[in-house]
Amino acid sequence: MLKQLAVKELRETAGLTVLALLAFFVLVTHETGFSLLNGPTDQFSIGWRSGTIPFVHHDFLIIFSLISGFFAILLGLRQSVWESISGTYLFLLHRPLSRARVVGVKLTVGVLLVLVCCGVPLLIYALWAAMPGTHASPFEWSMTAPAWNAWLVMTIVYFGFFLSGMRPARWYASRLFPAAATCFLVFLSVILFMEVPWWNGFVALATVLLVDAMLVAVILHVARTRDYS
Amino acid sequence: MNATPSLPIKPEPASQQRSDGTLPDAIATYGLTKYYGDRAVVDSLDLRVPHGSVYGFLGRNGAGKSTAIKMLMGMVRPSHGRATLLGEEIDDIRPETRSRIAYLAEGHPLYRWMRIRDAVRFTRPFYPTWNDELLEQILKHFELPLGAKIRRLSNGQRAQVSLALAVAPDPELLVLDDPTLGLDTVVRRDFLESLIQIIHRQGRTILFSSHILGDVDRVADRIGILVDGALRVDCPTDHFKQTVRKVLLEFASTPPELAPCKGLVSGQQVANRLELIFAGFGDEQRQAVEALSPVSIDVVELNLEDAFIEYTRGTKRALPVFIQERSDAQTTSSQGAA
Repeated sequence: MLKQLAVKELRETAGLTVLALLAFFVLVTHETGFSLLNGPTDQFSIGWRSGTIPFVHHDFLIIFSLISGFFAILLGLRQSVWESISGTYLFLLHRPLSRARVVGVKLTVGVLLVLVCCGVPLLIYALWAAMPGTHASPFEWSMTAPAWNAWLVMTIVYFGFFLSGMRPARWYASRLFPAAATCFLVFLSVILFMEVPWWNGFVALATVLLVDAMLVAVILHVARTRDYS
Repeated sequence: MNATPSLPIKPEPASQQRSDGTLPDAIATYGLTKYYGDRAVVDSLDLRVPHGSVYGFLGRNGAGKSTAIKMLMGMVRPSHGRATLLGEEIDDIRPETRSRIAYLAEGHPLYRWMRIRDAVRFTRPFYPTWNDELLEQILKHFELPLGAKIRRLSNGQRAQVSLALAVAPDPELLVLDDPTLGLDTVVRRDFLESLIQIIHRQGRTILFSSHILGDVDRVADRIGILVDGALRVDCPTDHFKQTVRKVLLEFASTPPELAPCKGLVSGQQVANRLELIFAGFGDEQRQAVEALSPVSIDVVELNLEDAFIEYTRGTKRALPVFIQERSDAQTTSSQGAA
């Protein structure tokens, strides 16, 4: 039955996922200088947007964060608000399965989608950048750290917006509080990464996981205690 | 004159309704209450639905039926009170017990992107007692192909799919929240006939809310009526019909006021006539109305729908649409006289 729930979630979010993957595909092909229509466009065998250093110029990080952010936001809302709007919580939640497990499946599928859909294009871009002969600029894996930080932080965005969708409150009142709080955290994370030397690696990972765990706990509490009317 | 509905038809203790004395009630609530803001939408609901009964849960719009049902199904948390389903507290109900309970929510929510086949595939793994043969029979009866897309089905067909999915696990308890709402007469009748077949075939406990009193009359052997969130009636259907009486008193001139009387639900003066609704019209009530010295007393038996309407509508009456016509007629006659 968990499989059925997971399949349902995948099916319902398939459209969003495809759109996000398309956007990432366009971004990565643009960054690598590969044109779908004309093939390689630069002097190198695969192509490269000349004059830029992979992962160092800010365009990539900004666009990657925007696409990932929109995907995480829409996914979180799609999985939580849509069931309320269409009334299907009443169909779903009286099944003989604990509410925590039903919502747990939703969250697992959602966060995996965020990590995989945002992570795979990032990994492809990083592998391309790490491959000798693809671009005329230096590359160190440490240069990818800000992008991975943004990738990781998207889980907070996802959980925050899922919680906003789940909480039964007015949209113009406290309902968007979790979403606003997560946006602030993301902003803080970016600042920390740029300005604070210790904000990297395990510290960032541990902090994000801690915030994620707190958000999941609140989501499960809200799912158990809220009214579905 | 217009009295507020009292509590003349009181719930009987559950223990007196059970024949074997061992089975707990399929549904039991104890002071179940839900507040939205300051308003008690459901107020101290003490409901008992015996095993094997078909219970019609009635009330006007906003009476609290859906909220009460949602509290039973764990969709809405009670502000006070508690409830048991098949002997287990709703807060701690085990998945095994929940798999013996089916629920049809109001409006028949289904995933519209699914085909009927997908909905079956999705629902089946939750229930160890799923009966494919029964499901096929029901779908075949309703002429619903498995490949049909749910978003392309009519309201009636979606209701039928919901019923099929609810019944396929062979549930002991079936809770239906206004299952025939929005269905046309033919589909409603067909839906109800199917429900009756299921009841007779399996002898399960069914609680269903409805606005269509004819449906309830056909199916329910017991009814409960919610008025402003409070359970005012809980008794066998026939008992309710036999108890509620409309008493028409004709007077030569303006009727006098009737003193408060036991069982009086409401009263309405129409010209020289007094229309009184009683829950239980016996000797005491007859003496009270005779004391008013009317020209005639007419005691009218009511069907379930009329009894329900008279019992629940209180002081409200139909819009006086004929006032204008009457004044027009008066104008015409005065013009004629002139």
